Amino acid sequence: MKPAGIIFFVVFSLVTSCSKVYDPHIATAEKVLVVDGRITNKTDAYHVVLSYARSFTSSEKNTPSIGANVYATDDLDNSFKFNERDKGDYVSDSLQFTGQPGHTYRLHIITEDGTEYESDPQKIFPEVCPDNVYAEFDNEEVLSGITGLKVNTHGASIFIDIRNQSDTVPRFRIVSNLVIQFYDQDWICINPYEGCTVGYTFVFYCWETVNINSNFNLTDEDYLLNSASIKNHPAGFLDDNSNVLVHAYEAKLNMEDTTASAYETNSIGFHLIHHRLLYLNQYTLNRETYLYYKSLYGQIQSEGKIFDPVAAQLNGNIKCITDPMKKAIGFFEASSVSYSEYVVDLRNLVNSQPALIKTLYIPSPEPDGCRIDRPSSKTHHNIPSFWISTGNTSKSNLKNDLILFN
Amino acid sequence: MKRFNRFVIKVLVAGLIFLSFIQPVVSQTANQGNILSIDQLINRLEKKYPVQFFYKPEWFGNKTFPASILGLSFAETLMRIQTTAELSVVTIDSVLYIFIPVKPDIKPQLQQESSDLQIVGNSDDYGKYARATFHGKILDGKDGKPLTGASIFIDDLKIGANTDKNGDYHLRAPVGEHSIRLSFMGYDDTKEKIKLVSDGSINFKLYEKAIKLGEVVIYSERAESNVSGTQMSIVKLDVKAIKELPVSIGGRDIIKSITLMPGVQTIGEFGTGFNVRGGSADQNLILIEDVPIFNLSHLFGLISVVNSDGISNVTLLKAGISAKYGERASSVMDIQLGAANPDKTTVKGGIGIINSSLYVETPLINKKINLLIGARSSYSNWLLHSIPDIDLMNSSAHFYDSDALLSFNVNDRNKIDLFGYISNDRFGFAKTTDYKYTNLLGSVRWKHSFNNQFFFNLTAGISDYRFQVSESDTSRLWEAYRINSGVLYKNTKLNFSWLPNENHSLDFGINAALYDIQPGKLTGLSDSTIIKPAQMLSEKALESAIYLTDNITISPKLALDVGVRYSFYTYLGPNKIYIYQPDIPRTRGSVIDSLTYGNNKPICRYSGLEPRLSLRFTLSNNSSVKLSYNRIHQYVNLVSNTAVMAPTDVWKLSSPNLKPLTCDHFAAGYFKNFKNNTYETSIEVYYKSLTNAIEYKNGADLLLNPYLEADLTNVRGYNYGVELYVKKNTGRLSGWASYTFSRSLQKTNGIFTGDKINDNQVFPSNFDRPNNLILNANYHISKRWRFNGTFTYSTGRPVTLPELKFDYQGYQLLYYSDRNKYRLPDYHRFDVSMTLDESLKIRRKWKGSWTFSIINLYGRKNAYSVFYQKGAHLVSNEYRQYDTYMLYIIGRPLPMLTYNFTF
Repeated sequence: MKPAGIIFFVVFSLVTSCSKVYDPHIATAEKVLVVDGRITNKTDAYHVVLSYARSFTSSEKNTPSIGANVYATDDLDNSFKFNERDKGDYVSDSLQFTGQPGHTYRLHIITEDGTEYESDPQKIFPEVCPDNVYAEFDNEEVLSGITGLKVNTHGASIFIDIRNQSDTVPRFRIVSNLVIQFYDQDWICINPYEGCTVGYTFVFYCWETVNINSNFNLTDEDYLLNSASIKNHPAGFLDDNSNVLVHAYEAKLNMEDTTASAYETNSIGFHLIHHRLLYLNQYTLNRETYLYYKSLYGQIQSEGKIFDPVAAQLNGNIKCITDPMKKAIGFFEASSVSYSEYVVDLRNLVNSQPALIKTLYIPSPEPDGCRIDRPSSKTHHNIPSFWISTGNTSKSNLKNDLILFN
Repeated sequence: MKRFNRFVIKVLVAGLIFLSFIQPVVSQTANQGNILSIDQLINRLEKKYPVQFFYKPEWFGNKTFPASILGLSFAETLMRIQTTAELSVVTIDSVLYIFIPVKPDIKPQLQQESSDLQIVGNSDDYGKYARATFHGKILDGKDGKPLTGASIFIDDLKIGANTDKNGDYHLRAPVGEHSIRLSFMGYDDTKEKIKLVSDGSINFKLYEKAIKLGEVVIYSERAESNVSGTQMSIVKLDVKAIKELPVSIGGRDIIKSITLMPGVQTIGEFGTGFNVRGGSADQNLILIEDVPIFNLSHLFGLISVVNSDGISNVTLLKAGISAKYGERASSVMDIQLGAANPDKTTVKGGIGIINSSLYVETPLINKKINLLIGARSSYSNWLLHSIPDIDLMNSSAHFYDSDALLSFNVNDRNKIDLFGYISNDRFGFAKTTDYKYTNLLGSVRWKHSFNNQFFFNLTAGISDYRFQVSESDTSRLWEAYRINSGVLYKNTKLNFSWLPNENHSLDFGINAALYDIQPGKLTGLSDSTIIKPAQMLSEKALESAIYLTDNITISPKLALDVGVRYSFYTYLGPNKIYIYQPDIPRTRGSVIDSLTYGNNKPICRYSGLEPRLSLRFTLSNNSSVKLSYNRIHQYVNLVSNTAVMAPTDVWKLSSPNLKPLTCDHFAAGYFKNFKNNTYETSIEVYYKSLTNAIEYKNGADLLLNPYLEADLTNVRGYNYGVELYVKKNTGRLSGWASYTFSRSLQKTNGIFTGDKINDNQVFPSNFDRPNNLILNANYHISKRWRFNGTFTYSTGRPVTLPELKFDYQGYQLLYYSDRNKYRLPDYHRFDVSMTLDESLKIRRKWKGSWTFSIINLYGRKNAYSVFYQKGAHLVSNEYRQYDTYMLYIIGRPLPMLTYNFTF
């Protein structure tokens, strides 16, 4: 090192700002209820998750609020009960309660200790569908599943166009989930005590769900000014890798009917991607919901560093009735939603860009999973209902049913 | 424009009526004004010439002076005072003049007196002439070099002359015997006897003396002026005081030193600017040669942009602000440049470990012109590049600034000043993110004296501030971008000063300032850019003002400074004004219409009367009570939602959707000096009310936001406090101690949730630091060694911290406290410095001094900010761990070494 460099190093090692872990002694004796609830215009079981916030310095997980009485009311004085299905998870009856656009709903909560909360009334706006969804080749920095570091990745960006269809002021939140389908196969012997000479090749229909949105993808409000349509709104990015790195599944054989179920193992490996399915949920939000998500987005972007905006409170819509001074966190959302599903084809291009083929909307039952099919068995066609089989790569090679070892 | 003219005429008429009203007072006092006390005479001289006097009134006893003395030249006036009062005067740099009492043992009259009568001229011509001119040189007796600026006097005749740059003098006198007195600063006075016969020449010699620093006391301003002046809440630093300032990072720093005065605070080492009595930094009008500067900071606040070399005086007004000033609500800092010695060339410089500076002042063209030019530059950039670390090699941290003043003395009545200033900062890391900002200032000023009592200053200035942030990752050039923003400010000021008599001093004039703000322009940096260019509409406005102020001495006990200013503001096109739905929260979504205006079309107007009053009531020779009130309207704000200067900071003008800030400031103080002004003490209380101050809403988006006003909310500000101050002026140990208790509180009055901060409850502003203690001591260990120590304590500044965390839709989120509910740990720091002067001989050409300082002597880790940080990036956002961190800027003792020189 040159002398000047040494001088600089000594001086600037002294001047340069540093940081250290700091305990600011925050007083958090208060027990604060957190509400995470949403109803839509779709027939579904709606969830209201109740928990208690924990101290900023706590390493514990949320404490669920159990035994609460949770119900929603509408502007026609109807009341809809939410039953506790799991600890702190309250679920509505999908046969009895479906949100209706144009109506206003309010959530009511009476916790186990008798404290009563309610939300501000929330109106469901009419459902708006995207007019055009398309993909373009792109590059983006994404977190590597292998190294955990951000790497520059080639792939495709998804864009949507939405035409402003009403006189009201719609605001949208886009949730884009990519379901990656892949196959696997395994051979399992059915006579393990006889030398394991007879077995079947089982076909694994596996999938993994990835949220390809940035945090809280909200449309801009700018377009509202001139009633123009939303154009080129980015809805997510997906890579064009041929393989996906996921946990391996193994089959557990039912000896009675030689069917098998899949269970996840700890080992991970690469699998050839069969299809990419894009699930696009477009929520039409009212003003309060939009602003709440916007503030959530702002907080996630900020870490309180030197140039970050000074942190701000998240103003939810839950109020404590029995004690107005008591804090409550969270939001009760009432939105309409439009679901749509697309097959993303990065190989067969349209106008030199990836193709998006709209298909029937069938949601996957779980975020990640695996089904096992043995074509010749009586449980043949244990193929997931959302599975897209066309345009496969080597699926036919996997359909050899029974392999005998001599 | 017609309305404007009519208004001007009305105000002028009103001013004339006012003047006619006070005329009887003027006439009455004018009769008594033929005889002046020493205070009155010095006041007049200081207004007339760019000099300051230091003396003790008791040295003059009851001696008075005829007003006609002011008609003499400065040198003659000075000589008349000396002979009348039998005092000597010592001058420093021809700016400071110190009267010294004649004492038998150190009588500074004549240490050498030649009994030899020297004949000047041809003896044969004796009796031929009544008057004759003699000339010659005054030389250094040691080396024979000519002395520039030495004086030659004939005391009996009260005439004299100074030597020019070649040491030459010319003097015309009656023939006959004369006693010649010769003097030059740093040399022993000498008396010679001559017999002037006819025109002729004669040279004289002077011999250098060693100055006794320990025995000469220098006041930064006249000792009792804190008691006798009308102005309160003032901090004034002149050349000498600046030299005695505590050392900060990068050397002596005027701005950093100002923050050691009561009522002035900063948010920390990285604080840009300073906060006066709870006001934000943008509420300070910082003028350099009458031009405002918009960013005061080098290296994001570690060092201020004001180089102390070349500054003749700095004045900070915290309250009782004269009607001459407006535009900003909390304070005025007026920085004036000037040559320390206009008669000779001086070179000064400083070499530090962060930056170095060089300064030159020189007279040109027979002293018709004085040129000052200074420059400073850091060397962190090339130092960074010399370190074998790839990231550091690709980083940059560099600043420079340069100023120049050219003063052209056209004649006795006219003077023209040309001023220019530039500062540049660049800070980047690993060639990805680059911050760059520049201040460019310039002004032209014409000073004209109609006579000794009436003169004007006409100034035209420009201030251009540009900020640029760019992000360029070479692996992702298509996403590289640059954002430019800036403020272009042009102003014209015309100020008339009229001194009808010693009891009145009137100033009146007109100001006009044109703002042109570029809020932001986004551009991509590569041909393949995917960045969609965006440019915010620029903002333009004209702020004008007309004012009249009169400093009136009603009686020896009561003096007033009363004034009025009327400011009028026009927001101009081109612009697009959004109209928001009135009955719902103002967001970009609540815009229902917009109006487009063409270039220079008036969009909206604001105006307001700004009364000003300062009152001094003398209780005794060494104590007084002062009161002041001022109202100021501010039409430009710096909107920031970060603690420091950040790319998101935006200058924003008052508009139809953003009302101007109004500040009402009341202050009262008791001032008392002890032991012949050795000790100054004061206690001041104040209350400051701010209406229509601006705060950002929760989750505000300030950068490139065309609906910025929708993300802002108005707050009321309530600032109050008490300031205690004790200062020791003289002796080997000098310094000051101050304690301030103050509060700076705010409150929203929003109707909608988004417009409320802390549910409309009163909350502390970012600058609320109730307790502030400063202890500063200068100790002259010997003639060459001096020590300075400064201890600072203040309550930690308010912060908003996360109190809880919770899960929502798979994300772990934070619940923050009410805004500014918590405080950082208390701040305290002790800085010391030791200065060694290489030589005390004034006539030695090269004079150097070494200053070794240690900032933060005991290594206190003062929190600058507290932030939280998520755990390592995971593919999923769920359940990241959080930790709070404390950021500190100087966490350990920081030694600094600076060498300053002058020749």
